[in-house]
Amino acid sequence: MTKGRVLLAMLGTDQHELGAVAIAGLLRDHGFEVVYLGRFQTPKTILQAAIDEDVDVIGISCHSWEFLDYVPELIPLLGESEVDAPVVLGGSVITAEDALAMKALGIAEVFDSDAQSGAILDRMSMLAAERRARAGIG
Amino acid sequence: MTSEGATHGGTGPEWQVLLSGLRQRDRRALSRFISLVEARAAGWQDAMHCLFAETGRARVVGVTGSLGTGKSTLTGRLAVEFIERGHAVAILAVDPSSPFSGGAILGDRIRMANLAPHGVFLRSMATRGAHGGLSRATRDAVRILDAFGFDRILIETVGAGQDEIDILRVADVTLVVSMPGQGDEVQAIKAGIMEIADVFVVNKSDCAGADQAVADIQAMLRVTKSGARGGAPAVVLKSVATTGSGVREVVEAIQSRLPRAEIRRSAPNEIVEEVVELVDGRLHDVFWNELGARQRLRERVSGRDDVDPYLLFGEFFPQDLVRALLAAARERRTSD
Repeated sequence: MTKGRVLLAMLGTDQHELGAVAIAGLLRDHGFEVVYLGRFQTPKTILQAAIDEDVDVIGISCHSWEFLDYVPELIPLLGESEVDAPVVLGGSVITAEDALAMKALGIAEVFDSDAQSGAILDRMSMLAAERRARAGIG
Repeated sequence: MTSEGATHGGTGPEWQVLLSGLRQRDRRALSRFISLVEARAAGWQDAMHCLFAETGRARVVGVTGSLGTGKSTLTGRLAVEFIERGHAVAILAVDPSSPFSGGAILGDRIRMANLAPHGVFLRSMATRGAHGGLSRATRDAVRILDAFGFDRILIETVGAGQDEIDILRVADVTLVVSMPGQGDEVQAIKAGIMEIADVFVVNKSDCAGADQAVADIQAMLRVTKSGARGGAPAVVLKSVATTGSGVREVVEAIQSRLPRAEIRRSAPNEIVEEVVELVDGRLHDVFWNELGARQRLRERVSGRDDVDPYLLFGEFFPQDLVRALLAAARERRTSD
């Protein structure tokens, strides 16, 4: 049985895909099903995919500043549609100050560029398991 | 809800909420319904039974073929063409689970980004250990989408070579997608996958060798029985999925091969195979997962390099249980 379904996306014109691809491989190798959206996503395309795919966690790779514009739009959009999957951010450009602001908006976790794979996997497993229990998915 | 197979008679309140959500065409209810059936959550067969009577209207198109032939892009194009003809379209895209971790990368949405404005429901599914090119819940997901009201359901299989032919039993019409320069590969796939095609599509036909690829397939069709279901003979078409060229002709070939009856029901032999699979799947889960046999087996072999699989088979095969079942069956037969 899968550990959970994780959506991975990048917002706007952010082109730096290596991090997202590496995380996709890491999650796959540890039993997650990764719905990979890749580049050029918007809050609306992420919402649509999160609904259709019934994902347990939404992961956004941030290697450009655009997340500062898009995340404040994404969170209420998910809320209005009653999508309860937690959203996590990861990437090199997120400052400590940004991380606090993002968590205040409702982001469940922020992984900076020093985050270790073990810690990422533990946190993702926990978030996915909590959400699957809420949804009643075995 | 824990994973469980026994029938409880009727369905629990969670399922009732989802069933009524489904009837009100709530996409989140649809999506959750698929997740729960895919996970074989308690009561799933009862829930499927509740909506089975509402199925049979959708027409199912299978898209299969080797890796890299453009199945995803073509499937996205077909979906838009069906939408433009007034159909409600859903797509199931199946990708392989890793045999090592059980994880998967489901990447088909990348190739179908053009669908976003069209309201197509797109769901990615991992094979979760199944080997026939689909997952074991794909057919169930088709029925859920059917009951929801989608009338064209496209299934994209895993990149398939010779044996991944489960799609034949789920789809009304099967497309086999290939591309120019696959001459040898077409030879190699003739035994399995060539026989299931209703429509052959040579995609990427703007590349050199497209006419040769069409001719190769046509030559092969002359020596094998054409028409997977004994209906219209198989046809060979060309497309360029990235531009949309040839897509209309492919859709017309599909439409002309769909069953005419308003309600489509599985043939008795298909039902036999499906029930055998359902029972097998359940027995497998009970024995290996719920009774913990797989874990015990792991512990038994852990750290050893001298284990004999035949001895372990004798040790793990539930002989006593099977003997008791056989004896009970004999007794029932004699008392009848």
